[in-house]
Amino acid sequence: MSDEAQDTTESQEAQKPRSKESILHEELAGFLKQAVSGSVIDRSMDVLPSVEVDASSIASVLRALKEGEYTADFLDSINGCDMMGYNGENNPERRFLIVYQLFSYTKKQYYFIKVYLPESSPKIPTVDTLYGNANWLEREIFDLLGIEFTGSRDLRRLLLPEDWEGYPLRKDYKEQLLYDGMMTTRHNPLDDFKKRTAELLEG
Amino acid sequence: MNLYQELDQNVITLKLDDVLNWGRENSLWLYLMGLACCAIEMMQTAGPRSDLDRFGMAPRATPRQSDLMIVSGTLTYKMAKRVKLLYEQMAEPRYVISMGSCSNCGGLFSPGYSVLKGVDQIIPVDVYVPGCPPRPEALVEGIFKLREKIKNESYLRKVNPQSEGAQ
Repeated sequence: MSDEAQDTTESQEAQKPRSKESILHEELAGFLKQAVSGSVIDRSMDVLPSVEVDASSIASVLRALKEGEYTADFLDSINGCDMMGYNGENNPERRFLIVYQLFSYTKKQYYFIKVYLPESSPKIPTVDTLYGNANWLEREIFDLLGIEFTGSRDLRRLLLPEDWEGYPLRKDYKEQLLYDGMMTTRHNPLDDFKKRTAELLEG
Repeated sequence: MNLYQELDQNVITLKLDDVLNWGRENSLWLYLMGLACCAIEMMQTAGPRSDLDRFGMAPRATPRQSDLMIVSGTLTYKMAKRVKLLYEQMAEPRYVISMGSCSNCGGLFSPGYSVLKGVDQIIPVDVYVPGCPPRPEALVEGIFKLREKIKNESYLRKVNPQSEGAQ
């Protein structure tokens, strides 16, 4: 987010009461700054209030949330996102975004933890020892975005065939012409029609 | 008793091809290759309203007992390999109906990276049924087209050159 956009949200802040989630994530950032080493950035004023942490400290962050007072006992989902060209920017250091969505059954609250990964080595420590369901979520992100979860007990492709090349949800993904002898394109008769119409209009 | 009179009433003469084709077209056992929402319409077609049993069609769960494969739904590359394998397990003569836009040409999902653009890129297709999804009436129409095709085939002549070639 640019500086101007942040200014406008701050000026609106005085008029509009802050949401419960925003206050919660500000508290959460304060808690995490004491609980874990590594940088913790408070993103409670974003559209989606969240806390941004370092990739290397993700396991200790989730452990602190799970075992501490916030009782994040359920990993709802892990989302992966390719941020190439987001807001017209290309920052190779912040190419991939991973969002951990946690839920506490006792407190009935969601927690959002964000991690940015660089383009050169998209690696993040696994959390499958903390949450059993993390394995499939991580495998899906590995499958479609090619992010390596180091230390995972079983990191294979989840949805695509095992001999698939490339990671299709990356924005610079190019489809192969052939997959296992099957053509990946098909002639579209509409294209001929459009071409002929264009020729007729010209001539 | 006049034998010739009795024969006239009880015997019909026709070509062997016609008898075989009549039998084949009235006992098309279909293999359920239901892959997506078209499969729901295929189930409806077998249901009481359009009742495929009337044409001697029975759904089978194995390709080895079936004559007809109805590929109904979006075909991904991962599934395409399995479809080809199952088609090869069907005994000759075998027929394929491609049901719905997805299986005809990729349809709605053709821009997707994981979807095969038409089942005819891996196996030969006899009848294409358009629609997204086609109504049961449309599928029955497609099956009737296939029955017409079977009716005009010469099964004996199709078999013989192969056996001669083997000798």
